[in-house]
Amino acid sequence: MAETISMEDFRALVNRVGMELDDDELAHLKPMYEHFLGPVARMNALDLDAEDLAVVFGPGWEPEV
Amino acid sequence: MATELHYLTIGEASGLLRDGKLSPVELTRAFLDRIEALDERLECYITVLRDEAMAEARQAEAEILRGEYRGPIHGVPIALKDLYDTEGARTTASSKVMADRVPSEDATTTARLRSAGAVLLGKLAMHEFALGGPDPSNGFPLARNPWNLDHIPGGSSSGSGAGVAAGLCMGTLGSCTGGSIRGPASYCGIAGIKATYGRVSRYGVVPLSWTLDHCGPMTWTVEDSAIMLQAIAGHDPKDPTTSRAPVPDYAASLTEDVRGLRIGVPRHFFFADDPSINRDTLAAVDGALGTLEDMGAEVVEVSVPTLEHAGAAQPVIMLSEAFAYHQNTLRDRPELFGEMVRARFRTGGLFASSDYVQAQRVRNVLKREFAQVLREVDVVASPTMSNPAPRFDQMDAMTTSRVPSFTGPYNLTGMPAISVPCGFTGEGLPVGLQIAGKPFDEPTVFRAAYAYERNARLFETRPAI
Repeated sequence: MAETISMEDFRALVNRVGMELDDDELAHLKPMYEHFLGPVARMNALDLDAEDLAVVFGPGWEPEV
Repeated sequence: MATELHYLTIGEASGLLRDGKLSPVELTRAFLDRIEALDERLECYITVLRDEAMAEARQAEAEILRGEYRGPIHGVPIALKDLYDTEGARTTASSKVMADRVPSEDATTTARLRSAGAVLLGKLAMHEFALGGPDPSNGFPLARNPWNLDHIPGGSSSGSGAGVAAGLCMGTLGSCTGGSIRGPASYCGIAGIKATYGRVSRYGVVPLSWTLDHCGPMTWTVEDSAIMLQAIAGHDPKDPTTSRAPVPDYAASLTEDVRGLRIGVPRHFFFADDPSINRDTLAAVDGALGTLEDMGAEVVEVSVPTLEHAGAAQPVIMLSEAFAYHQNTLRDRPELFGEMVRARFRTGGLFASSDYVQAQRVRNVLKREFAQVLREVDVVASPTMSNPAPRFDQMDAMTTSRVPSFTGPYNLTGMPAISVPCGFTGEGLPVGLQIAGKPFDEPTVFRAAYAYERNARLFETRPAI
């Protein structure tokens, strides 16, 4: 699994989020993002069952009386 | 019992206060004098509320003299991490973003401590927005570890850990998203408990990550943590995530008897053959487990396979939720953040939505695996931290991410978890034993921690400051 990202791709990712970073800021941030690439890829590779829910929404409404 | 007032425990002081043998005014003045003498070096406080504290102490004294004793926190000088809202007193989260913020209302926990008669000494240093690290670029105090001033006290509740260990307050509330109560407790040689998710209100506490944030006390002893948790636990209509489950009597669980207690240890994760885990730490925790066995507990090895992915799931959730909260300020006024927290928050904006959803699903699997294990054992034990406190000159925005997190898994599951001191490294830095339990079973967590603490008696040793 790739644990690095090209600077070109990283710049595109950052721009997509709406952050305007200069070259120094991009160079500083890139290794921090890359630190997570391997662990997150391994987490995403887990084959979970359909019943392994994510967030469960509990609106907390009570029936009207 | 300690001879210096600033080293009394809450349990020791409360009996004296109740019986009129100790004046809240005298006790509060002793702490304020100690803060004045030491805090320039230790940098634990962002705000000291000297006049307000003295007024509260005088009120407590008058009430106790009138026979209106409120309970074991009445007249006890405490402090709060500077993300707990305090009506009329600046609450900054250690950030220029909130530098001038003065809440118009107390956090529910603040209000409950006031109602119990606590005296609020001030607001404690912390890592910016409970995440940033000891970052000189944000201009707020950087608390130092009283056991060795070259080392950090941990975070994010840095001033809380250092302040309690140094005798600058009798107790405090920390907040914890990945280990910010237990971590500084371990690094500073004190007790700290993250109660079950939903046990303590978070209303009026500056958020970092809504699904991971927890509140809880940090104190010198386990008994003191039980006393403080008793005062703040319980349902809060202002916080819909709080539980209506009744709050038990925590003091009743403080026995020194662990006979028959079953302690599970996931050695495959917490004692892994990983060079980034400190060997002195593992030896100290193994020693503590041996002590608990000698006291009559049964220690068994258990398996929680998904712990392997907790180190990905926890930061993905935490940083994604934090980015969601801070994104507008990050885009419009990024210069208001310190360098460390700004970079970490930005990372949170780069994860895919599918990463976040998968992390929440993994979290659910982890919870299920722990639930299975907790059918076989009463508590789960491990080191609190994989390493002792780093030096300041070793710190950057990612230092803590390069070693395994032993605390984050319990923020994912929401289980109650405590850190209690269990020894020192060869360098003389404290090591913590982490004990986690079944949801809302803080009494059993307290029982195990208290029994160990009373046997090991590490609370008799204070840092030489």
